[in-house]
Amino acid sequence: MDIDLIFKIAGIAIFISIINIVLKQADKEEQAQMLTLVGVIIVLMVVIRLINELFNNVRSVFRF
Amino acid sequence: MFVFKIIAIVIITTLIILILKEEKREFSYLLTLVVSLIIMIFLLQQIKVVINILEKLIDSSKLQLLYFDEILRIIGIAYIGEFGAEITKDAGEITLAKKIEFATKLVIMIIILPILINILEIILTMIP
Repeated sequence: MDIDLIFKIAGIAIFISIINIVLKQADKEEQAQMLTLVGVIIVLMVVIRLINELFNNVRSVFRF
Repeated sequence: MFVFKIIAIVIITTLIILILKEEKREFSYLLTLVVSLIIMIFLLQQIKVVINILEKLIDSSKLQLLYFDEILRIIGIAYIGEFGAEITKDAGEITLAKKIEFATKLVIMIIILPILINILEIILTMIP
């Protein structure tokens, strides 16, 4: 169980939301949107790897 | 005890999600997904232990349990399907969650049908 992953994602999320606020204050709505998109994609990479691990584990444990 | 570990992780995550929910909804959802994935992967190791014990019990009792592999496969499909449906439901897509549940039931049905046919054939041979 790697708890680091949770804190990593929480850190990315909080960082991006803070930068987002700053960008919105500076009237850079597009950049803020792009930043959110990039953050979601970065987290998605982690999620995809985890989903792959879960499926492989289920396949080996339940002998598919 | 791993229960305390899981409870602690879930509580910490809940607090982080409470902070994130107001600013970024998509990140709070992703965090939920990651935490549930981590917990599911962790629980699989425990399930493996249970399955090994069950298998030893079956081996020692000397009666062959037919279709043990099928039972295991059905449990695995239900495990994955329930997980996917719950995660999808959490994001508010109830229609898609219903599709996952339906697909799971269908796959289980396809696995069960040959067993059902076997039983029916046995019954038919018993009737003169």
